[in-house]
Amino acid sequence: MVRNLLGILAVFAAALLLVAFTFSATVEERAAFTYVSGSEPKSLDPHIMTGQLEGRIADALFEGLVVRDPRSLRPVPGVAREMPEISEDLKTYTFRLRPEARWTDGSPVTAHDFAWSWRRLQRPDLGAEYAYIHHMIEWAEVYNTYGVQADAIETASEDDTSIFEALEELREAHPGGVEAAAWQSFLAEAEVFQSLKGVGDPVLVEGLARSEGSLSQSELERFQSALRTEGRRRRALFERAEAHYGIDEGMWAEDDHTLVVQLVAPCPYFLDVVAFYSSHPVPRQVVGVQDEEGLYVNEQDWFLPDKIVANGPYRLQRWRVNDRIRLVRSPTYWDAANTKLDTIDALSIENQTTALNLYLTDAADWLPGNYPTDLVDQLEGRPDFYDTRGLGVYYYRFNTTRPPFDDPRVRLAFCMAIDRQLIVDDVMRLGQIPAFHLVPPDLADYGYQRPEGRIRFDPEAARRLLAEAGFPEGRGFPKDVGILFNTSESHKKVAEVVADHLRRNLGVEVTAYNQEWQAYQATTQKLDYWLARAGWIGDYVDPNTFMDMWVTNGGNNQTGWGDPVYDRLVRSAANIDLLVEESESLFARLKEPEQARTLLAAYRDATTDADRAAAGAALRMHCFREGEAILFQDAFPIMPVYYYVWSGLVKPHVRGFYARLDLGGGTEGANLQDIHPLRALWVEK
Amino acid sequence: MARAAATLAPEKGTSLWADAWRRLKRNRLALGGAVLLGLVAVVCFVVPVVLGLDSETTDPANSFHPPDAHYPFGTDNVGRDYLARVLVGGQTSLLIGVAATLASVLIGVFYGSLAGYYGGKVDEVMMRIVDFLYAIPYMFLVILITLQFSKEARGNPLPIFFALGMVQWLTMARIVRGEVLTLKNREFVLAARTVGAGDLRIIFRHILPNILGVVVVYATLTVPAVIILESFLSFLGLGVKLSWGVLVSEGVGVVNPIESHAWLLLLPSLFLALTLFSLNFLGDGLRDALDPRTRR
Repeated sequence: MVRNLLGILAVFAAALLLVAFTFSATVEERAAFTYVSGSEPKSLDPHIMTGQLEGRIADALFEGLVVRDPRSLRPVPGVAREMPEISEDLKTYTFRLRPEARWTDGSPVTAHDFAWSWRRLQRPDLGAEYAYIHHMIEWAEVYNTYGVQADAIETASEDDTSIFEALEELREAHPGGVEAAAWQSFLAEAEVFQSLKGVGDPVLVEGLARSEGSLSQSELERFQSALRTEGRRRRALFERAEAHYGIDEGMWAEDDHTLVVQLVAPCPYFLDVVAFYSSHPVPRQVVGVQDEEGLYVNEQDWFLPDKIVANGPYRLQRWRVNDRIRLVRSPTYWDAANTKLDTIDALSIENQTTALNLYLTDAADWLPGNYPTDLVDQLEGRPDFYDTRGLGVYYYRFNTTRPPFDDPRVRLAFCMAIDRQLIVDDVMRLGQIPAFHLVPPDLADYGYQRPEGRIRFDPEAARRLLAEAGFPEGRGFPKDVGILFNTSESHKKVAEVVADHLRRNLGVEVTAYNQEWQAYQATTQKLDYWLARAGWIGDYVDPNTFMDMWVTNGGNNQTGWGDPVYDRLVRSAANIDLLVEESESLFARLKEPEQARTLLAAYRDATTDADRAAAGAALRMHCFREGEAILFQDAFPIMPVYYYVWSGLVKPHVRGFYARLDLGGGTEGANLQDIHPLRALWVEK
Repeated sequence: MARAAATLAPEKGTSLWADAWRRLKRNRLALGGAVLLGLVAVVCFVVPVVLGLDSETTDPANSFHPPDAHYPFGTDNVGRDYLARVLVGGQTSLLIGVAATLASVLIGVFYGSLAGYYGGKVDEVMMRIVDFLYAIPYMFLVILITLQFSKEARGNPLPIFFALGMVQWLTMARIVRGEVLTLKNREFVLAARTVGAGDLRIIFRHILPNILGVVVVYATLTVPAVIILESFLSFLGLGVKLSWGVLVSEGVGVVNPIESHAWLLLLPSLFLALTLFSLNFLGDGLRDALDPRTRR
């Protein structure tokens, strides 16, 4: 009996040993620096990625023409030998590359690599989400979008009718003309807005804006012929861009070490964009390999460890899905002598409690924000806790196409019924700033003056507005209204408090409900919601990154709201010369036309390039101010809640980590974008 | 020899139900379960109304308040009264248990008795459909139904009622079919048929009362199964807005290495466990009482 038992135990112990051995074989030596990256990266292709956590790794693997200085986050030379030469009209940038820059396969990094990579970012069949970030470059937008739009307008395929044909069918179905409502739903369904983005032809502009009365056959016919002309115009422009963009127009390599970039209009944040990961070069010698049919054979997987060739301070050693990405110092990097960490591990861990546990047990050196939010109070006092104001706004979208939220009074009533101070003080608890606007207050330091808005916390006024809209004390308000948020403990808390404030202050029943990220994105894109939580983190420090998403039918708008005046303002901000052309018709509809006129006069009358640039910049900011005034004096397509604060835990032995920026001259600033370049970190124990 | 006496003098006999009741009363565990269950139900449905408890009003400044005299169950992460939440959550859990079970009884009994009574081809086809539905993983089925019926999936409990009922009726149908199969050739059915009773009348007036015992027993055991299933769904984030399952799931979320607010997990778990225990004891007791043959 005892012997039997011992035998069983021995077998059991052997099995256990075997298991332990199997696992121990996969345990790796700890990297010099380990941090919790968050979710599994979706891609390491800098042109395809869209997330901050992927960007962090891309910035270590690749190097752009300029990079961010870790102390100030200002652009400093990267692959470029020095800061670019900028022409006097601020539209031409000339970058000179350092000859010693190398890819990991030993070949030199040349201007041709950049021209090829930037062209790839715009390649219509690549479908890069961030392609638009380069659209201030001449011909970039044309190459990226016009071909696709021209196809949608006039080329029918087997499984898709063209807009032109659909319009033909519409005319045949309605010989007596089309009602405006049916017309608008036709335009939305056939995705006409997307295909006519930025159109200037007055026939088309008016046609798109028709929302009253009905359109006669002759009107439709005129629209159709203008549409055909526009389609052909776009086709011709696309063909030109395809032949020249990145080769000899827009931007091109003058020689192996000179890259010239021409902008449509002066763009104050262009160098921030050049430092952004979408502008990183990709290895032409790997990504550019084509088969006989011209397909890029490595497009989907060139960034995997056995294929990747990169030019940054680190190279990708291993990528184990749902475990970690291991980076090792690249010996071929031109500044390898100043790369201090030998190895870096980026852990893919979504569970916040697990992440915190790893940090507390010294298995990770940096925990960027992904700790359980309920523990803010306990963590805040720790010496290794950091927090800094963020360039981001947390808000709720209204579905302005779904009654009762098609009424701006209802939207404003909702905006005025929630106590933001209480949400930031008692729920978020990190000193977030309550948001009554869109653009974060920090942009005041960059020359942006926010307009007055009508949103404040005032339950009385909110109830009055709701009564005016036909729902006194919330009576008659639909019962099935929901607040959608993507699954997360912290979004859930905010949504529940917001729902409670709406219930108590307005007498309306709203229910908070959640969906996983993918489903949530599909739902908001389809406008299948009432209120939906959202957040927007600025890609660069300029109001444009917050403002351009609200143009009519913009990809990230997702509220159904649109206003032609707003669209013109945002367009003018991107290119002030457009404003000079159409000033009076636009100015008549502004809140502060006098100020705009004064600024425009200064711009016109400027005698030196410097004066002109300064006046242009001021006028540009005024366009944004007017645009934001439309959002928060009239329209309220969104309900801002608070401005972000970044926070996290970092071990004291980690150096080169700047939660507060040193802006020179003794001034400090917030690390608004929460950027901590891995290449600048080192460990001192 | 009370049994023998009863058979000898049928006119003074106790009915099956009276008999069962007598046996149930002797089963302390089952009786205790019934009392406890009644108590939980009364507390869940009456106390919130009497005390005017509010499960939705948030007070973030007062979050994670430990249980004390003012908040007997403490507060949750946005400062809502946890007593109210546990009790209101209990209402949903119990309602879902009962409603889904009722749905499964209605569908299952009807379906099973038709299949069993008509037999042959009809039975063959009907039971193959049941087998087919059995073969689909129930989780998959429930998720599909929930998503289909709640385009706006906002914690409306109706799709969950429906989905759980849809899954639970399968076993009920099989049990009922089996019982009907054994009863349909018995003499009393033959007698009814001889006097010209229609099929439906025979099924519902003559056969069904005889299998009610089995149905009741199985239904009693279905309720806890449904409550557990609902909690599981809520735990996965597919369930309703507020139920014990939801509270347990949220409670697990606050267990962490720095500071645990254990009451958020323990209290709803305790209520859930008590209810499930009671229901299972009651179900076992009912089975013993209604169908003495299955004992031993």
